[in-house]
Amino acid sequence: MKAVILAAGNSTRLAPFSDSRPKSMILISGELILERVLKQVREAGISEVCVVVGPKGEQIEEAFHFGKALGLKLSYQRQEAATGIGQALSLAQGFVGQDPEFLLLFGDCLASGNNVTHLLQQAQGRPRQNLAMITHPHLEGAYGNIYLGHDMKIQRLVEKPLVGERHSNYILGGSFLLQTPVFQTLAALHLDMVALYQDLISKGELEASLWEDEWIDISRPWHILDANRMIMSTWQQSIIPASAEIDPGVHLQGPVHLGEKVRISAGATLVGPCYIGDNCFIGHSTLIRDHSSIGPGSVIGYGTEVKNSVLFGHSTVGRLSYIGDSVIGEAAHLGSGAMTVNTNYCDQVFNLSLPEGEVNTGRTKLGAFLGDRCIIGAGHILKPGTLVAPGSVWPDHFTNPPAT
Amino acid sequence: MCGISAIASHKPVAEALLQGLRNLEYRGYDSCGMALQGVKGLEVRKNIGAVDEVDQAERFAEMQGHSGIAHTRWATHGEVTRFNSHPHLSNNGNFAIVHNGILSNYQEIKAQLMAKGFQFLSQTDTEVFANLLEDAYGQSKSVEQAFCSALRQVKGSYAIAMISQHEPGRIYGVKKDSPLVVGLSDGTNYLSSDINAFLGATRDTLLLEDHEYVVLEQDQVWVKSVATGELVPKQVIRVQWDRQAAQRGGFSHYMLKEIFDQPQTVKQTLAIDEAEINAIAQKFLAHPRNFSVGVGTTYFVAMVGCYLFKRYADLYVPAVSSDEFPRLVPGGADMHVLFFSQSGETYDTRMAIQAAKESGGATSAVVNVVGSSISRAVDTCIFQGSGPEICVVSTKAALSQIVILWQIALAVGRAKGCLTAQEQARVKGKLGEFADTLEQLLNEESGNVRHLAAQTKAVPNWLFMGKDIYYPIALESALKMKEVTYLHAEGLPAGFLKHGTLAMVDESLYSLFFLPHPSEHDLFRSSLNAMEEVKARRGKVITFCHPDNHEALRLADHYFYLPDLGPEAHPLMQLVLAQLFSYYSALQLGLNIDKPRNLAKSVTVG
Repeated sequence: MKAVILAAGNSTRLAPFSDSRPKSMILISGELILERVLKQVREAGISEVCVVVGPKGEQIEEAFHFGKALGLKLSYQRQEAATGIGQALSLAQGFVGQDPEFLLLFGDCLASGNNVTHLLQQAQGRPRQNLAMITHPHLEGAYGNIYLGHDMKIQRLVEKPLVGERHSNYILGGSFLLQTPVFQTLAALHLDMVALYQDLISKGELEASLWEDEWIDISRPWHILDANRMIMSTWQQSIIPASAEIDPGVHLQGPVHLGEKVRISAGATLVGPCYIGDNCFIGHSTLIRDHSSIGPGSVIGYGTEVKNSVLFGHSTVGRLSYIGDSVIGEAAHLGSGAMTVNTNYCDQVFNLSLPEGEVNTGRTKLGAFLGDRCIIGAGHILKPGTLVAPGSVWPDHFTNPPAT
Repeated sequence: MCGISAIASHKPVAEALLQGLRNLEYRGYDSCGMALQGVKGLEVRKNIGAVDEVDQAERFAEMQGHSGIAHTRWATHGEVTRFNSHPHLSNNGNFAIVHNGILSNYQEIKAQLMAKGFQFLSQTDTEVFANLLEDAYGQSKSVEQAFCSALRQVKGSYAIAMISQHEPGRIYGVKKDSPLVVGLSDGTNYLSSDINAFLGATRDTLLLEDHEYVVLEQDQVWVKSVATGELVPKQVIRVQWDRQAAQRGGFSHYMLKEIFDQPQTVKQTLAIDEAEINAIAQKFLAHPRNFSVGVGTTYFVAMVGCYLFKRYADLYVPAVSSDEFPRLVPGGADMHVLFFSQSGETYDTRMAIQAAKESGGATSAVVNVVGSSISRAVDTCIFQGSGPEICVVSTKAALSQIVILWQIALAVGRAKGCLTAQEQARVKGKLGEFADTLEQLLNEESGNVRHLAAQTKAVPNWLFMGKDIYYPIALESALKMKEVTYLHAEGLPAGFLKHGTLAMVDESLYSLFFLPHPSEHDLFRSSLNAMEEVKARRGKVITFCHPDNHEALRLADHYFYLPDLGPEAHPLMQLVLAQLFSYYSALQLGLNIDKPRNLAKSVTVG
């Protein structure tokens, strides 16, 4: 069987990260999102994969080439403009070719386990069918729209639930096993993916595969933290390669995953689950708290605390800084004493004013979200929910000398 | 659907093949057979019937050989006869074949082969393939070449396994559109329609793609392309799932599947013939003393009945636990006892039946398993028809029994003249409405129930409370909670609280309140009082209500949504949501939901 992965989405809601990279190129818990999906596909016994990429797709191609490192045969299709999921899928028709069925995965959905195997398992030993993975949304109050029958057939899909109306709790989980003739149906429906779902449901040809473990559709910057937590929560063991240099007086606790040639200086405390990528330098007396993911090549300066945060890598965090409930893009620089404030002291959920309106983050702890290559000078205090565009430069913050 | 199992091993394979057939039996069971390559050549045994029946007649285990193929059939082409069952031999007996699927051009190949002098014993397409192989072998003198050349001639869908006299110890397999997987272990290799056949032996598999064929020996496996004959590199995949996963139909646990089955099973119980219901109702009228008896969940079902008989028939029918019944209730011919059992084999209930019968009492029962001991022991029996319930913890069977009991109470009330025919029909209609709404409720509430269960999974102590009929519903729900989560959940009447148990309440204690419908005014008010009592001691309160029910919401820390279907469906919907809550609590705790520790499905010991 072959697999088609859709990774072309524009995902503007994920700004500032989507401004400079495709969503699937976000590094969480030591893995790119797409890398994790591809590994699951390979684990499920599939070797031929077509990734439909969008703008900035060359980043994906450069990272994965022809898939050899992952034991896959990768090919790419490029969707030039944001013309919808249906159109993106149709680009893979030639790739699927004469195969009777294929796997379709959305490249921005992450599950706590291998949902691909789970899906194929259900298909096992049964007549060929269209199968859709369904799951509960990961946030409370985020409404689903799939109604499930006792026979696991999807009964109806309410495309845009009305406010105040009761909704199903199930949603489509972005993994499908589809029969190849759906390409013809899709073409006849003007490449409208929702119309395809509705068509299959109305004919009783879409069955559900229920995923009951954790699952996240990453659409907002803070969902990166949820996904990171979800993945790390499954870790049971520490990984410490022989090349890691750990000074005396370093305290490790819980499952800690270290990359090659990591150097950890005296007095540092690492509380697992946490991840420190290849070639990172962790300075003296730093505190890396649980559910922190520090990408490769990063430098964390003396006395800095990192808590429940994701750093994509190749970043520098100056001494005596605090990074909490934050996401820091690649090659960013934070000067000494930079602080993220992540709480409002009254346990209230943060609402953010974004261009499209007020957005409920569902979080009572929310730090800052800094795009790739940002420079935040020394001494800045970032308020909760600060979003910084890639490449922004905030000069160092000085206290002016008192007037004499 | 048919099942293929094939094994090449350094050990005799007959037993393992037979086990494989048993594991595949769910794929079809009208006939089965095996072919083994022994010292004396190819031996085939096959017959019609289920695997164990055929085994009794054919004694598969006696067959000799280190490689063999087996098949369990669900007829598509040709009748169910011994000749049509698999494996099929070629005319000279040198090739044995088992096959799933349909060779669409077999008639035309058959005609060509008949012209060459081949004869056919069966009406199957499979035998055509066997002879096609023999014909091709005659030309190439190579089994592998013959296999590929035959494959290039056939059209349609198939999964095939083949052994040949010419190459003892080897198995050939190929698939197109029908499933076939390879299982690998040390010294033994497997080929099967699905991994169920060999899951007990290995979890390492190779997945075959269409137009790939596999050659199996005890120590080696080659996968090649039919078109080119070149080796296809394959990765070994370790499967994680268990045998029953396939049979759970996509649900991760039987318990959830069975909870989702309930809209269907309730509808089935509502369709039970009125004559059957009335037969039991007549017994209630004919005897001055009536009891309803069960044990565990079925005891709580009987308790629900207490309230229903009072409500509809103005009759006191005590509910008694089966294990206490013989010691508690004086026997006599003036007595009628209605028993409840899911399995129909429950030891305590059987003993209670025996005691009732010995004293000359009349007996009747509601049972899920046809032909079970209890169904044979009682005078009158209703089979609830809820389908097999595999999860040890009963959900759909219990709900169906309540709905049957509801109908019996209505029938008794009607016969006694307490109830008009219209009222009886109206209440039954309400139960139907409940069944119709249930699926939607499960879809709309399961996520919320799951979220709440995630928040409360660390709570070790629970009180489940209700009044009137909601009291046995609370008891049953508390039992569910205990069974699957091993947490302490105590069911009690809400009015009981201030007479003692209230002493336990503090901010760490959670209470689940089963609230009456607001139209049951007095009952509703007094249940709210109990909620107030808990709230005043800073205990946490969870309840079930409609979002317009502001009085209840004011007192609740969390609530589960209920649609407003009137007082009849109200307790039943709460029962179902409480089942779901127990399920998700256990899921959050990572417990073995379908087989809780220390419990068995059918308690047949005293």
